[in-house]
Amino acid sequence: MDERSYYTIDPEGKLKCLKCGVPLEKGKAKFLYLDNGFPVELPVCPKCGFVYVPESLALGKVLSVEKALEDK
Amino acid sequence: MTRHPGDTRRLIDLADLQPGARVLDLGAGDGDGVRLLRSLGYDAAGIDRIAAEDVEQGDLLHTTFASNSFDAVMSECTFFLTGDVPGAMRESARILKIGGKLLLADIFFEDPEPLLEAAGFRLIHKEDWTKAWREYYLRSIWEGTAEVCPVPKGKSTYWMLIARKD
Amino acid sequence: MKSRIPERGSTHVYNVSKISKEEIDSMVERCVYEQPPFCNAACPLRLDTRALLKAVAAGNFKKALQLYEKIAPFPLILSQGCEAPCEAKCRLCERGDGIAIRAIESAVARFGEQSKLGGVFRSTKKQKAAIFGSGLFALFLAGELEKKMYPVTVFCAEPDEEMYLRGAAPFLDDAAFTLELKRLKRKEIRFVFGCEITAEFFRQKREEYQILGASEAAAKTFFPVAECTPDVMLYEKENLIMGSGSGVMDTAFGAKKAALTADRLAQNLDPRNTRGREGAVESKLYTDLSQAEALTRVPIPPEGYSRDQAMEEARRCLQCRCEECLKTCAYLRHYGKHPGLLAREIYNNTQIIMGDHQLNKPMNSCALCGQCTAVCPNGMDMARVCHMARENMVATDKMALAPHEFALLDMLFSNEEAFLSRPQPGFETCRYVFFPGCQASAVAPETVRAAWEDLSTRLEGGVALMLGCCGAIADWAGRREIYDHTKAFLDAELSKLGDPIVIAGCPTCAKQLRSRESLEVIGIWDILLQLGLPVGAKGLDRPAALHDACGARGDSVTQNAIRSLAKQLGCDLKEPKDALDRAPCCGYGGLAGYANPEVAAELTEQCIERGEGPWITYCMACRDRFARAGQETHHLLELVYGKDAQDAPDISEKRRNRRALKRDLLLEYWNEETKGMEPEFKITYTLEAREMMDQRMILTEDVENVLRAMRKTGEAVLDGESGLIIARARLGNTTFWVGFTEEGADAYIVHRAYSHRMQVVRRQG
Repeated sequence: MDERSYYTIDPEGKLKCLKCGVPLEKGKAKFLYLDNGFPVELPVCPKCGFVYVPESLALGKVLSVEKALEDK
Repeated sequence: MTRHPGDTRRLIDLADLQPGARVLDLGAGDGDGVRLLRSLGYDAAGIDRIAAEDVEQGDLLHTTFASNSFDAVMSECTFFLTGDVPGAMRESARILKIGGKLLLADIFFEDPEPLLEAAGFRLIHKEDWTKAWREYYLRSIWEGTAEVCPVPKGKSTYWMLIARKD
Repeated sequence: MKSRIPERGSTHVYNVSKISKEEIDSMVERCVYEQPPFCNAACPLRLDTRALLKAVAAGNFKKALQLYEKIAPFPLILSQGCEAPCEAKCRLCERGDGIAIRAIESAVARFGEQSKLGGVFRSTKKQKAAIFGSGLFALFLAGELEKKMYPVTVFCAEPDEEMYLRGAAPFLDDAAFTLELKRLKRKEIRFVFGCEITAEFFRQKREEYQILGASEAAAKTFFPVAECTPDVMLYEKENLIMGSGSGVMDTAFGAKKAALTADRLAQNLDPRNTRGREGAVESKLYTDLSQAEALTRVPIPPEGYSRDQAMEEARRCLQCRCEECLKTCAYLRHYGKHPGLLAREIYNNTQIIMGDHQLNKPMNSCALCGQCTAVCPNGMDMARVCHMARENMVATDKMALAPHEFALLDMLFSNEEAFLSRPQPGFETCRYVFFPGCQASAVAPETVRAAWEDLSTRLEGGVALMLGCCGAIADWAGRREIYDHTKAFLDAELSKLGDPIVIAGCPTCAKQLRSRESLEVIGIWDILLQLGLPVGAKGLDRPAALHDACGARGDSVTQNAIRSLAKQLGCDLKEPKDALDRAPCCGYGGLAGYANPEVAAELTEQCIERGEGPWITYCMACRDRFARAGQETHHLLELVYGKDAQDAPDISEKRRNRRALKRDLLLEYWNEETKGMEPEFKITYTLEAREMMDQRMILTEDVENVLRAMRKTGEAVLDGESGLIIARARLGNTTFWVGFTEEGADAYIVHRAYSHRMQVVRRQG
């Protein structure tokens, strides 16, 4: 478990990369906005590196952090 | 308005002040620093550009306090904002008694020691909080908790400094 | 795809703000909300009369007495003797009887329960005060100093408190006398009775006390040449506080000033130091008297008001407060602040270098419509404040792109992909150009076509057509650079057409275009009045309410022209509440609808509440917002040209309409073919997807671009739980995600769409 990660989600084999034909695994990713970076763990394709952002995260925490940064 | 990594408490503890010491919070924001100092038994006052509860309105570079009237001056993330760090240091030196301490937690783009010496201070303690500060800032944004003064562009260091007026 | 408009970079900047303090002060001062009510202002003692009357009206005599005692240590003496300049200033005097303030004060002094001082730890001051002599000034001064926690000693010739009080206030009736005597005895004033008040006595005693006060008579006994300087109540040579003048209120005021002088002397400061504004002032407050009803005073019986009578009289008080703009503007009501305060906060917001800009949202939620300026008796201009603040934040690189990006990209779309500028077929240059405005083509393309066809038929000299955005969007966003660029672009295009007279279809466009002195701009309504209505023009068969566009505020020519036209059409117009210059904004103005949909919805709601539909508007943006809110709405031009634009189009349809209009006209009139609008694959949307996309500001072309990217790179993910294939692409400053199913090769059904502005990348270790 990456202590620096601000958010973690494990796809538990439910997501499959259609380009590579393999399941997505929990992998290290980073969100970037207005020169700020947030380390997270998201479903990632181990072969091509596709990073998946679930809808609930995009419209939830990601949106609220965007708004917080916009007000800085 | 602004919270600081490592806590104001750490800065105060580092200074090792006498009980009942007269302390000024320069750039006191919403007054939390003043109230913290008072809760620790110090005779505290605070000034800022805009008045607030327990904070008087005042100009940090030209306070109306008499010379040699404070045992300590504390300032977090404010000197840098005045645009005149040497001036802020000189004013702090003026209102401090001889032997009084400056408690400074702020962003520096250059070595702070020469600046302190030019204003009549001797640096007695310094800690580099840059890494902790950046992480604290990002974490507080992500969690949506109390904010921390943001990270500026360019190579800067967040120092916690204790200096004595000689 | 690269982003068209650069996102803001660093988290803060150190540039100096471009709004000077003097500028913002002069703007903020126009709001008189914080001005004192007239009664308060007239009182030299600064009694909060308005609050006192409110307390009495609610039956809270205890609170009223607290307020009164704040300025009067002996309230019954004051109320029985005060000349009450406040009564003459009561605004109700203009409509009927002013409030009987003095009589109410007397009731308060009689019925008010004295609050106990116990429980509040108050330490007496170290400096001791001595007062020599008797009379009203000495008595009041003793009370004022005691209130300030100075230990007070009064040296007098009288034998006891009764005689002292009797001498000071001989006009008190028996009941009042008894009560005041009780009050006097309860105060912590030490009396030394039976003294011989001589100069020698004074010399003996003066060293023991740090604050010295005397009645005028006593002072003159000690120093025959003693003169009192009125603004500080001091015989300055000896630092002796002394009374002067006559009249109960004057004396009370004198005692108050004297007490402040005592404070300054105790602090070793110049008595003239920081006294603030003392005495009565002029108030600039505005009171709306139109709703005042109870205009007759409750008669005062000889023994004074009873509790009930005092309450009844106090209830007549209007509680003067200027809320003219708050009454008419949903945005101000939403933030619950008077504009003077909100403007100050919005200005302070622009000054923040580090820390949260918490006022960004209110700054961006103002519709910039000018209604507050029109209804404010002083012309407070919230639009100017918010607009300047936005421009300032853009100029200092502090304005994030997110709130306005969709609108700005839409403006670029109107002036690029959907832009059309052509002379009328058969003309090289034209006498006129019809500029319907971007919302017209988006919302009612058929009407735009019909209007242009009509104008080009009936006017001489050629009517060119320009479909584009006037730049209002960039102006509202505070993006000066983009606005100037748009302006230059339009000017160049107009030049190519021969610098024709602009016939504007939209009042906001007309206003924007008129800002150039070189252009002649008229409204299509003006032309239609000249030419007469075309065949087929028909009004509504039921009475309709007319909503005035904020773009026409202050433009009575346009407002009247619209009404004439509507009448010519046979419309039976009902004027809603707050019409013409007082009309509220539909919510489109100032990009409020993009930055803060919640407040914009309240603005629309406020418009609709003031009248009964069906509605007639003369701005397409208003037409659209009203229709979206479920109101039957017609744009005047739809009635003129016998069209009905039907249901409000969603954001993707608005783009489609503009594209289609341009494509159809280019082909039909100028024989130019444009490439097709359909994507190279089949794509359908579930109803849920369409609604989601409209709500989340995701266009069909964004979705198409995501699928296009996926088709090229093959990058997509299958969600085992939902069965959807999910693909994404970064377009400009946003990453768009699409959840879809395949319906065979090259055919997709879109189920979900979402987006975020954050970039997401893989990270090592």
